[in-house]
Parts: sequence; C-alpha cells; structure tokens
Amino acid sequence: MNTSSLSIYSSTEKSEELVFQGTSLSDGVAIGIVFLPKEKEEIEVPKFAITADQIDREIDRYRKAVALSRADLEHLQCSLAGEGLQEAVSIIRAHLEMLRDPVLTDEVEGKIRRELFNTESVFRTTMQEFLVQFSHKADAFFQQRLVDVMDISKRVLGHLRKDPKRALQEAPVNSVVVVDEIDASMTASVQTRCIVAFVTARGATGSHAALIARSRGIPYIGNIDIEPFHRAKGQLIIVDGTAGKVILSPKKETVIRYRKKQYRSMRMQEHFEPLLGLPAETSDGHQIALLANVGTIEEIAMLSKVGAEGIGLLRSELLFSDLIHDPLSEDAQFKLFTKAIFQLQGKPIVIRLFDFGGDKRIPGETSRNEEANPLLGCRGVRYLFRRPKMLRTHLRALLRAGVSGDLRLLVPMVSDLAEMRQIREIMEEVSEELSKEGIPHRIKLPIGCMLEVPSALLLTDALASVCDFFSLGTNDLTQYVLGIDRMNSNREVFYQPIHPGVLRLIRFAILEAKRHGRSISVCGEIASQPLFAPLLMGLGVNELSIIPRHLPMVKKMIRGSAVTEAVCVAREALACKEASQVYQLLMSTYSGSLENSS
Amino acid sequence: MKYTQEIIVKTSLGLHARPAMEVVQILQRSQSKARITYDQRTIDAQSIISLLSLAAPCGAVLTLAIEGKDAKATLLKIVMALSKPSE
Repeated sequence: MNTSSLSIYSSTEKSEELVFQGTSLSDGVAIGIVFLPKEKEEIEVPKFAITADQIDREIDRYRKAVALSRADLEHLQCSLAGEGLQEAVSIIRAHLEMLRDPVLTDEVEGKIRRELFNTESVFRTTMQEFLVQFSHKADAFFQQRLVDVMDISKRVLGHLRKDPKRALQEAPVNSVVVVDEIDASMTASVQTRCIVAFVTARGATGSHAALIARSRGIPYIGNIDIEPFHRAKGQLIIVDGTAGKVILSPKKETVIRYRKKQYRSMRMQEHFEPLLGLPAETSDGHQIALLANVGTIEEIAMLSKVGAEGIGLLRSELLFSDLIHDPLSEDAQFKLFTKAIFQLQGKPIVIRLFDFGGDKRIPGETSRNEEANPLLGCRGVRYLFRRPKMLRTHLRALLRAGVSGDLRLLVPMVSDLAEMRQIREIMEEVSEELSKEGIPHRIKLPIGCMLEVPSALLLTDALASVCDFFSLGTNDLTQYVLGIDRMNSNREVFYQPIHPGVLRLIRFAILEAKRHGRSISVCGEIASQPLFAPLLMGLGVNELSIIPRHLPMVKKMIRGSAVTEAVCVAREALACKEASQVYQLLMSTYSGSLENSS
Repeated sequence: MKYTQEIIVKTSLGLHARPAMEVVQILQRSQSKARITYDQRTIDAQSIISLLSLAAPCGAVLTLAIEGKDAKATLLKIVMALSKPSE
C-alpha cells in the first residue's frame, strides 16, 4: 500500500487522467483513494457426506450460523435506526425475515437429514434452487431482489466458516471501493469515515445497496468497466455521482474543480431549513452546543448551512489526504489551518493534532515496521513523540495560525499525564523559538485532552490539572473498553458504543471533568446519531460535535426532548446490564421523535 | 374455513420486499395457512423468499388459497396489504 501511495505524487503529475462514464446510482461528489476489496474468493463451500449420527451436529451448526447472522443484522439495524435511516432499517428487517423463512429452514434441515451432506453444501444448494426460480424472470427490478437473497446466503455461509472476514472492514480512511457488485449489508455496515464512494461493474438504481447509499449520502456509480482499476490500487480517484463519472488519477486542476463542486453538492434537505435559526434547546430550556466534525476545507464552508456553532473536531491529518499539500511542510500547514480558522469568523475551532498511525498513514510514508496491532500501537500523540521534528513543525504552524481566531488544540490518544505535560513543554519551547525569530504567533493555546483510552478516563481528575478541556472520542474508546478491534469482522456483534460498560465509564469521566471545572464534549460517532443525543444529554454532556450532515437531525431530536426526562433515561441506561436493553430503552422512549426527524 | 380468491397486486413496485414482508407477518399472527399461485407456480405464502421469487409485478393476478380458523379475516388483511399503491 505504501509503495503505491508513493507513486501517487508522480502519477498526479505525469500520467493522463482517465475518465469513465457509468450510471449514477447515488448523488454527490467524493475524492479518495482506490480501494479494491479482496475478490471474495467466491466463498469456497466444502461438500462432504456425513453419517446419521452427525445429523444433529450439522443442524445445530446451521441454527447457530443463522442465529449469528440474525445478531449481525439486529445490531446493524440498531445502528441504522440510531442514524435515523428508517428506509435502510426496513430493508434489514426484510433480511431478518428471510432468515426466519420457514420454508428455508424446513428445506435445509430436511435435506441434511435425507441427503446426509454437510450444512454448508446443503444450504448453498437450497439457496441456488431459490435463485434459479428468480433468475428466469426478466424484470430487472426483481432481479435486484436476487441480490438480497445472495446477501443473506453469503452472511450465513460466512458464519459457517471458521474465520469469517468481511472485505470492506479493511478499507483505510478515504477509500473509494471499486468492486464487481455490492450488496445492502455492505453499504449499510460501512463507516462513512473510511468509505467515501462506491464504483461497481454492475448495480441498479432499484437495488437495496443503492437505496442505502442514497440515504447515507454515499456517492455510487454502477456499470463501469472496472478492469483498468485493478492496477490502480491506492491511486487518487474522483467519483462524480451526479454525472455518473469516474476520474482516475486526476490532474491537480481537476481535483481543485471537484473540491468546489463537492462543496456545492452538499445541500441540506429542505425540511430542515426552518431549524437553521433556532437554538439547540430542549423543551425545558436547556441549551446544547452543536459543533461539527470536519476533515476538509470544503466541509467547513458548509457549516453555516447546517447551523453549526463552531468546529468541535477538525481531523487535521485529513486536510492532507488530497495528496496536494505536504503535511511535513510548516508553510503548507500554516496556510491550510489559517484558511480553516478564517472561515469560522471568530467561532471556536478545535484542531486535533495529527492523528497518524493506526489505520492512517502519511501519504507516501513507507512503514518502518509493520505493527501486529496498529490500533493498539504507535498512533496519535505517541506517533508524534517519535517524530520530534514533525511535532515541532506541526506546533509551529498551529501557533502561527492561532492568531487568526479562536483556535484550541486537541491531543489524541493520551493515556497518561506525562504526555500532556510533554506537549505543553514542547509548545512553550516552540513559542519561545518563534518569538526569537520574530514570527507572529499565539503565545499559548488552550489544549484539550482526547478521552479515548480507558486509563485517561479513569484519570480525568488528574488530567484536569494539565489540560483546559476534554473531548470524548467514543469510537476508539468503545473498542478499547470492550476489547474489540473496530475493524474486526465481528464488529457489529460486539462493537457497541451504548454498551453499559462504556456508558458507566463515560459517566465517570463527565462527573470528574465537571467537578474540576473543565468542559467536556463528545465527538465520536455516537454524538451524530439522533437516537443517542438525549442519552448523552442525560449523562451530563452539554456539547456535541457531529458529522455536519447529521447536525439538523440531532438538533431536531434535542428540541423535541426534555433534559429532565433524559436524565431519568440515562439513569435507567446506566442500570442496564446489556447493550440491547439500552437500545430498547431508547427506542421505546424516543422512536416517535426519530420518525419525525428522518 | 377455506377460501380461494384472486388478488390483484396494486402496490406500485409489485410484490417486492416490503409488501411480501407484510404478508408473511400477517400470516405469522394468524391461525391460517396460505398458498399463492402465480404464473403456474404455487408457493407457500409463509415464506418471504418464495413470495419474492414469484416476481409478481404491479397488476399481476395471484390466486390465494387460504385455510384456517381466521381465514376470512386474514384474507382481507392480505388483500389490503397488496392494495396500497404507494408502497
């Protein structure tokens, strides 16, 4: 991956840009890197005869695989409902219904008994028989339902294998997935942070995958000859979902043109417009500050359209993912940060220090040593400490840019007090250095600590003495508290930000932060989900940082709820023993408001 | 009680996932069993995959055979589910 990303610099300079025309299946513009999921080696299905005394074991395996598939889908449904995507929820409901199909169960279990073959071969034959009935129908619309049946089939077969692994979970940040075909569960389970667009050889407007892509705002183009892309792994690619166009290794000018177009295409749904001028205030008069999570300059420009009160999290490393600006240059950083701060016109902006490492690498950097567990490895502030020169350049650029507005810094992956102290010391040194050189800059910037490693949350009181504010990064926190890699293929089953274990730890940190007079906001994905907003509010959070597109929905949810009720709900949630109970509690209290907000 | 009746699919996209799901759920809550014949194929209406495999478009005429204690009421509910044009 690294060698190919090195070549991007050269390819944007020299090689011709290639334009492909396909069918638009979901609008919008995305600029990213080509990601080719491993051709899912047409899941190999072993076939062997079994003896009569193995029948029960095989049937048991089948039931377990179905139960695991159901659990996957239920969690997926939960997170989609959290995002307020009712239509996607109903598609997943249809998938759940298919898994419960009595004819399917009778067929599979009956055949195992009668024909004495292993579960996966019997299941596959049964599904193929269903598919044959579909496929001689000419209607393109119903052909699409075939994809749903295959989707289910793959899911169950996946659980019958020893090592189930789903291809898209390995996609790095800013990936454009180029693949033969995608299905509904693929589109529904992607993290929008990692996957920015889809390009497929097949695909149809009526497909459930397209529908979910549209409701999640992920550009998607079908009917593209993907053959040439197989040699383009890691190259820059533009997806113009509106025009149905794909541009491979675009020229600089093309990238700039599309960045502008991308910004223009981010329109808000009309029915949210009346909300714009209104505060995020609960029905009992409690105000919540709604800020935005952003990663590009263009996103910042649209903030006034969604009514954000500032930026709660600027993922600084993403500003450089377009491969045009060099993240190692002080001037490039200074210019980009200044541009960002200027656009805020005095509103607060929190820039998170470069969060490289883990699943994000510096473009063009060859890895020195592959880590076995990159998400538990040298990332965030640890990564910066290992590159003192880069850290100093970074802080210089930030201090210089700080004169343009209300800038605050956020330190990622803090696990211990010493790290915060060290950052402060280096910042003082850098500031003196700049003074000596006579370069204008802010002497001091407020520094916040990202709470995402459990040890940091448990030390909130101590950290309060060395930082000015806190920001809860619930995505990483969830994976560390539950001990599950968030890229893991079983993520849907175990990765739950509303797990009572996570909630109790969050609650602890919020109380400690407040006790020491430090503000605390939430910037993880949980804050962008309307269903979870009242819960966070009830836990004592007054500030949420949200994906811009979700901001109006969250605001609507807040305006429709009361903090007094939210506090009771949060108390009940903290007493829950399982994530599913928390989910049911929220659904029973707030699903009504959710329907109105989607 | 046992009934056989012809039903016209009026949902604009035909018998697709959502109406099929509704039919299945109606039958799950009832005490009747139903079979549907369309285009010379007869399938078990309790099975969503079988229902979808009929690929019945809007305007298709299905023959529904239903049997059970609450056959008549269930039949009515199924007709209603397949008559919502907006679905």
